Amino acid sequence: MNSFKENLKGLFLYKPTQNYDFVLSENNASNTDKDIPPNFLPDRDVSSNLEQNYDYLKVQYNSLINSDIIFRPFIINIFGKSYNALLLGIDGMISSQLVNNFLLRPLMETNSNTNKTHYTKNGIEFKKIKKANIEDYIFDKLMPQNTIKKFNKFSEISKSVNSGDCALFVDTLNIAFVIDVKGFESRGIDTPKNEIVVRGSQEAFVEKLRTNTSILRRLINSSELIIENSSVGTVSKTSVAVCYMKNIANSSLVEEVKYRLNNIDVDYIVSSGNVEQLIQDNSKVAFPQLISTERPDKAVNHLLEGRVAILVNGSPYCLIAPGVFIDFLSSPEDLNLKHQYSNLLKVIRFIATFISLFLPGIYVAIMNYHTELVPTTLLFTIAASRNSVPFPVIFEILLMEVSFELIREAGLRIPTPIGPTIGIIGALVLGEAAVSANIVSPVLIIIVALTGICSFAIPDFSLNFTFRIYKFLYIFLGYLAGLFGIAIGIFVQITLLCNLRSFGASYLAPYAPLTNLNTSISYFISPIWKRETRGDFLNTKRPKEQPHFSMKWLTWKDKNKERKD
Amino acid sequence: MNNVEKIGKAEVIALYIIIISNNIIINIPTIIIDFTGTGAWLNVIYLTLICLIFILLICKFFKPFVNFDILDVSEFLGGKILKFIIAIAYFLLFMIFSAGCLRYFADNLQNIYFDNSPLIFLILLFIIPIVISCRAGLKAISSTNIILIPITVFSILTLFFVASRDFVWQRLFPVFGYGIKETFLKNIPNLFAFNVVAYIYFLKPFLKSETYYKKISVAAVIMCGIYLLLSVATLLMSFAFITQTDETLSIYILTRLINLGKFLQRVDALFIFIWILAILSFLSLNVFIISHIVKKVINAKASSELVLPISAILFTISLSFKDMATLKFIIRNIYKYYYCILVFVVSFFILLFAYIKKEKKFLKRKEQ
Amino acid sequence: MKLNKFVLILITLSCLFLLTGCYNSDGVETKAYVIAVGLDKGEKDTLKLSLQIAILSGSDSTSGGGGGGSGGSSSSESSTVISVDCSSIESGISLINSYISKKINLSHCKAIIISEELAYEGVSNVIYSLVNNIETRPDCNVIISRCDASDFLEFSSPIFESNPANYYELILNSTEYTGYVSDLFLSDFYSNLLSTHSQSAAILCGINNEQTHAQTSSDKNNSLDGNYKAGQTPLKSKNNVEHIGTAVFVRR
Repeated sequence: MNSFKENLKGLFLYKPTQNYDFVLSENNASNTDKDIPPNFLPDRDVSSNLEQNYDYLKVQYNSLINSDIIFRPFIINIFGKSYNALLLGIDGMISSQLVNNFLLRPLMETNSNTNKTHYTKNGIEFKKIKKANIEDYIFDKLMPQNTIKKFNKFSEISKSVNSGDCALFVDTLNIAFVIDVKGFESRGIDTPKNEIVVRGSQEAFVEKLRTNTSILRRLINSSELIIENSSVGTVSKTSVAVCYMKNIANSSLVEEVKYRLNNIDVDYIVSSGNVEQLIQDNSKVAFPQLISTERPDKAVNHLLEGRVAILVNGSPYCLIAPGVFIDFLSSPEDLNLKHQYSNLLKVIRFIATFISLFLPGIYVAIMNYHTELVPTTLLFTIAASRNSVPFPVIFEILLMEVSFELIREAGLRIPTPIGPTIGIIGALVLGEAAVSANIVSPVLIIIVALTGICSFAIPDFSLNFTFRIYKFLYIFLGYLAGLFGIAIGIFVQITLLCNLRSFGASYLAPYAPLTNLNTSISYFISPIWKRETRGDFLNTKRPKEQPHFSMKWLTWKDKNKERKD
Repeated sequence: MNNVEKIGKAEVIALYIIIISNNIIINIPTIIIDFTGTGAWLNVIYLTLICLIFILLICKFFKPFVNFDILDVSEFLGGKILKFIIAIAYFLLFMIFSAGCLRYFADNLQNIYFDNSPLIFLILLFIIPIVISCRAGLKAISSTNIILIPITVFSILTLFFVASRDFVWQRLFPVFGYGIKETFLKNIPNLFAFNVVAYIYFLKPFLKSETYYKKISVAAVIMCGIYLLLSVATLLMSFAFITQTDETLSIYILTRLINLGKFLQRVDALFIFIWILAILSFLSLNVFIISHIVKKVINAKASSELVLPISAILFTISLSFKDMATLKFIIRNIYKYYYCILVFVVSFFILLFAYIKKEKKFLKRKEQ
Repeated sequence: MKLNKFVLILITLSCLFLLTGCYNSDGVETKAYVIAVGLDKGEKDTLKLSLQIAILSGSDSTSGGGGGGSGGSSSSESSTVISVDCSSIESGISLINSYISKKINLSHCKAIIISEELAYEGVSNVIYSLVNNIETRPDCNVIISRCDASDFLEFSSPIFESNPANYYELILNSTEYTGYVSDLFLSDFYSNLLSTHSQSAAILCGINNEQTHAQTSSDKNNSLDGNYKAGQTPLKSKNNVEHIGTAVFVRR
């Protein structure tokens, strides 16, 4: 009785809505005026004071939060004197072996043979002390490496360091040695298995976190990329890296991601899929709310758009927040192709989306309620084929859809060499037999097959699942009230999606609160030179991706012409 | 007042467009034609001009009241009592119209496709999404709306363009329909076709910035005029019989004329499909505004919990019309005049007096 | 709370599925699609309604085939004609529904054939009830037949098409290149019926055979091809119908 009362109260009493509220502003209007330069720090010359250099580098590389930057202060003994020195490198990009054996060892070994040259002249032993030139000395004698460059601009140094070199700073020297000790783990990197594209890089993330961060570093090549480490799971202590561009990503977005990651109280985490479920905004909705990709180029694209990437150790998938609906419908290839090509693909993908979600539902609706919608000849064909089928349309379509899902699922389990064949044969035989046994009508086989094929045209794996679930919902709605039921379903779905937020970004952005569409995030993309701004809903620190006139060569040509004339 | 969800410019325009589009879907042009005959198109042009003057004045009077809707203004003018009266009046206005709209559309839907389903089932199916979207708030409604707007507008414009093949210009004559007096004087209450104005009174505090309030309002009225003119003209020129077969949606009859080649000749169900979406969007806006009014009157914290009882009332009212003839009678003979008096007379004068009061206060302060 | 929601959803779903909807859904195969409606003057009642109904091939049991009581016999395999004497179109449909197994559906009706005899008495009532029937489409043709409409339906056996509906759609395509007939729709007909400035017109047609040739050869005094009325064209054919000419109505 009491629980019944509680239940009633739960149903009808007013409860203030307790929504977790984190909202990013819809448009960038607030911070368009301040334009952060691509590099946060002004360029400087290397000073001869090591402390100063060290401080500068600390700021430049955000050493307090960046997890993979290695600073190795040590002491060099030259000519009996000891100099402070500093080695700078990025973990994962430099080869530890090379650095340890051929860089640190020669430098740190007490250099007993000093610059005192002993020679005897006329029986008298002389000790000549050469003028101390440690720069040359180090360059000539202490570094058994083939490529060493000397730079005195921090910009040049960081450029090399970001691409995997090591920099050596020595006190009293106003230059830095840049030594090539690149050693990416490129052997373990494989091609992407599930997100295959034609024009795009053919490398994928791997299970090792450090390798993944080095891949990102290598592709972005900017010291503004911050990679922060933290660990999730009280037992497993899985290390998780949060990556973002310091001068682009919205800082409150970054804070939010870190806040959520650091406030997960679970015993263990095994994969990025676990993390995704633990930090997404709304777990009741089936739609994916974080992009999950195995492609570094996609991740880099999103990072440079101003999103935050989350790498989990032991998982070859990178999570990207926030993810909006449009992202799941676009393939990583879209941005690599000319906009005409990718827009064609997008039209096709839109049709595929529509079909995979609605076609079975619409078929049920039309067959049950709206037969006048079908052209007469087609209707007669369908009706004739249905004449001998004993089941109602709804049962027929559920039967076929369920068996199709069965074939799909079973196809995964069958050992690989025969898997695909069994799948195809199963589908063919089952369909053919069902038709000839008059259990289903042939039109229905077409519908189910088309739905199945189109569901594979959806680029995102999770969205594919979502649509498979909602497909059944629409079948029921179509059965319930024809196109009216489907319209209701669509309306409720759109409303719920409009209400959904992924890390503060509206899920149907940039369409639902209508904002600038000339970005790379809108569904139909404009030519690359037109995409001047970053997505409004990301509210980035650097709203402009490129100046109004990005193809500068065009103007130069004009000027040349004028000169010729 | 402080935690109102604000919506942007595009969203507000989209809301107005959905209101206008629904006017056309639920047969208001036919009512105009019914009253004025072939003079309907002149009547519409004339009414648009009147409405424009009204809206300009309204915007002028509204200007000093930042973040006020008509209820706040009436409270400012006449205290709580006036606010109560106005609130109840508007509550009835929106309620009757939404209920009528819902019943009318559901009834037609039943006639067209669901001749075996009971009406209560259809109306219930309408109510459920309305409740869901209203509980999500105005922002969700307007966002949904902005996604639905392109297809709605596209469907209606396509209809007009396709129907234009069958136009017979002679059907516009006689120009003055039932007479000059009927066209220009007697049928001024046809202003109820411009029901955007009622929403203009209420949507003001939801705007992100009030600078474009006037522009949007004027644009809404002009769009409403153009839409009505188009639809009235289309109906007049395509059919000679539209007023005699008003058992169904006249715009639906128009869709059945579409015959583009051999394959695209049976697309009427798709149009109905789009209009269901439009009606749902429109009704959820209505229910939201009703719950907003109730919220203001009873000083509730949030309107989202009021949605359920209000939808229940809407459900009951829409079922309680005895039949379509009663509904038609109520809309044509009672609601029409009620709307015109409330929106164009009472509210207008409230605004006018409030404006004068405000100006006086302002002047006094200046003198001091 | 979780249980609550589940119960609530269960209740709503069961309400939706079990109590109210769904039983409206009858599949395509449970309907009898009328291809053409024929209207004659009735012998026992004011009207004689004939429906040409498509028999959907592929069905093993040709349900309610030819023979039967009220003069319906299948002239071709793809369709059958059923006639009944009735007071109005609606009641006629109901009567026929009591005779055949499937529910009659007019939404794919292509043509409305009215016999000359009935047409002379006025058609506005008939047309009005057809226009207001939500199932008939405004783009079906109105045809005035010089013979009985039920005969017309039985004799309209398409030579090239297996589907009689296609036949009605295509036969009037000739309007575009011959000009002997014009493609007139129900909506045009009704619009013109009510209009103050125009008169309604309909397609004229009739059975063409030796008998009709003989009947009308004396009428023909002019050798212009365009002067043939339906049924007069000297074609060597087996009892087929032809569409030629226009029937114009005058308001009374």
